[in-house]
Amino acid sequence: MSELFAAAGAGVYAVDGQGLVVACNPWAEKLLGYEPGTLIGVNAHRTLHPPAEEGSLPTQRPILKDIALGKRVSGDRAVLLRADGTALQVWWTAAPLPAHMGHDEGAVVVFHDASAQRAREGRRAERYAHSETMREQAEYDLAEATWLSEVTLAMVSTLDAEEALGRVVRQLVPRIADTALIDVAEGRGRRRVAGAHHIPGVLPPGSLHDSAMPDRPAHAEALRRVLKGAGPQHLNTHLPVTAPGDGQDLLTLVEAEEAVVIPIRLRATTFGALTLTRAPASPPFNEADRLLAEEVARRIALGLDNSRLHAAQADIAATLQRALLTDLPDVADLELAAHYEPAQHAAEVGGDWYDAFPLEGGDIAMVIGDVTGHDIQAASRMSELRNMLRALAVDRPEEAPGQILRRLDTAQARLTLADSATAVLARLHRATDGTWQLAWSAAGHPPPLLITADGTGCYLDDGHEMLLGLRPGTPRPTARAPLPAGATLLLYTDGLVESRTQSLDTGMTRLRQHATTHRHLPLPDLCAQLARELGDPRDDITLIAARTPTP
Amino acid sequence: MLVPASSVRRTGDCGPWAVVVLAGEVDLCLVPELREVIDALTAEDRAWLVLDLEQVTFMDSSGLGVLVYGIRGAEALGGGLRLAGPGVQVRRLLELTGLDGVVEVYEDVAGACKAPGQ
Repeated sequence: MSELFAAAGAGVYAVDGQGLVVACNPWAEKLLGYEPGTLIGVNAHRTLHPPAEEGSLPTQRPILKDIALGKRVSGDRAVLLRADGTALQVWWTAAPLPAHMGHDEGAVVVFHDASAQRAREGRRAERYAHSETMREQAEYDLAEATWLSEVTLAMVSTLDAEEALGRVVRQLVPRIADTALIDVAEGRGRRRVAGAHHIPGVLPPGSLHDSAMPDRPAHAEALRRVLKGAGPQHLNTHLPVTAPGDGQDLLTLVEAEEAVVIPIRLRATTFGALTLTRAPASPPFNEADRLLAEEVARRIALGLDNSRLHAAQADIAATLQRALLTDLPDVADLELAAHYEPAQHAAEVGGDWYDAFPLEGGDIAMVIGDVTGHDIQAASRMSELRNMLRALAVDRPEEAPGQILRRLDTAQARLTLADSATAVLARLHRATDGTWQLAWSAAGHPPPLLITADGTGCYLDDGHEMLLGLRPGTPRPTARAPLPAGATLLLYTDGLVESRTQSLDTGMTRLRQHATTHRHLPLPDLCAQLARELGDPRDDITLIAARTPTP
Repeated sequence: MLVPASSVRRTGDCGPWAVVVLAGEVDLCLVPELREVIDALTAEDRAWLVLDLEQVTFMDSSGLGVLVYGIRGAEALGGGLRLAGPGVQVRRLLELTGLDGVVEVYEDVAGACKAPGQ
């Protein structure tokens, strides 16, 4: 804050309740032509203000009185007297001194040499080129960089965009307006998502909805223009007295004397519009207010862009993944369930897959796999591998799982589908006596878990060979085991059993214990429960399970 | 717990072997860097690689993917890749994925470089 105080460009001085200067920055002295240290103790009201001249700062008392109510007062056309008696054109803002500074009822006044700006007026075409500089000036002038960073913080503190906007509008009142509203563009229309008034309760719950309280036509029109690409809109809303029985609009409700509608825009994208209003009791919006409001809107746009990008990235990978994970087939006398939970962080999503599909003769193929890497590329390589495995398995249903995985390995090496992948391919066969037989082959993947009805859990370690993608053509074993009645077969990816804080062996032990304990749960619930209890949220968690019927 | 910074560093050669030292968590974050180092070595026709894993605390399937990538790259040049000093977690991962039967694992870099070639 002391750096801000000393910052180039803006003069800052503080006065106590009597109007005596108690502190100032070097720029205040420089702009006013005082030797260092000589401004302290000067009576600002008597010495700095030209006597009752048109356009001078209002007398100190009214300022102190206004700001005693917690208001920020400001003006963009005022004059201060320099030490040599010449006039300095300024724009200025005054705010109450923080109580802990020990000058009750004092004020801090920030002012800026406005002569350069005056010269710029009338040259609107050039204004845009200067807007970056002016924005910075506005930040310093208002000594509100801290406040702006609070606005930014409110915006980025949550990735839930609407919650963030709600926090932002509450920051904006009463610092910059009496009422702040945010509308976001939605399809071809808009939706009001946040609103705040400096007096709690003035905006009744539900008043944000258009149907509950219509917008005044001029306001609606200004919003429409802004959302279609127009610049800031200014509404002078000298209110007609509302006739009794007339439906009240929102601007009437908040007693808006003046309103500005500012685009929330980044590059060519308009995310929405920020409406700020002030009641007659508040000073009108000046240039500095408008620049500050535009800066606020820009920060809101950056925040929205950020949360949308994040949401989009997470969505793309997770949506892709989900789309690739098809529904499970309906099988008579066999229950199937699967569970997929994408990693918490978008960057970690991708690569896992499960699958189940019917083969000739009523057999069922079950697959779990993991393509190395976590990203959209991994997700798309996964889909290639998954589809190829389907084709290979359906094409030669007489082949054992090990033979099919061997062909998959060869095919993917030839086509360089993936760097490497791990998988388990299982085949469930119903014998003529109604019992189920399991045949499986694992390629570098954690072993299937079998839980019997009596609560015995064991890992099926046989039928194991190295991962896919390194030695295509390697012969791959197939192991076989009966699936007793009421048994649960579980295939899963390493996200369920391994993390940075838990070794694979510990994870596998826990999985066996938890799966045994929860074996009576309906199959989909069992999968969800295990994912919740054991899964590492940093990784994708994927499970597929089958349960044989009890006699 | 103090988590060491994850890193990839190519150190001096050990005879014909190019030595790459990995540290910390070999996961998605480290993969691009590791790939780059392997690609640079391949571009120099370095066919004999030793990955020093003594300081590796964790490796996930992304890290494993690059390992496979390195093995394939070295073998394509007629050489090979050896691992030095993997900890329990990495050893278990090699076992689970069946890589323990493919890649030669040694106690340390000196051992990896000294052992006669296949």
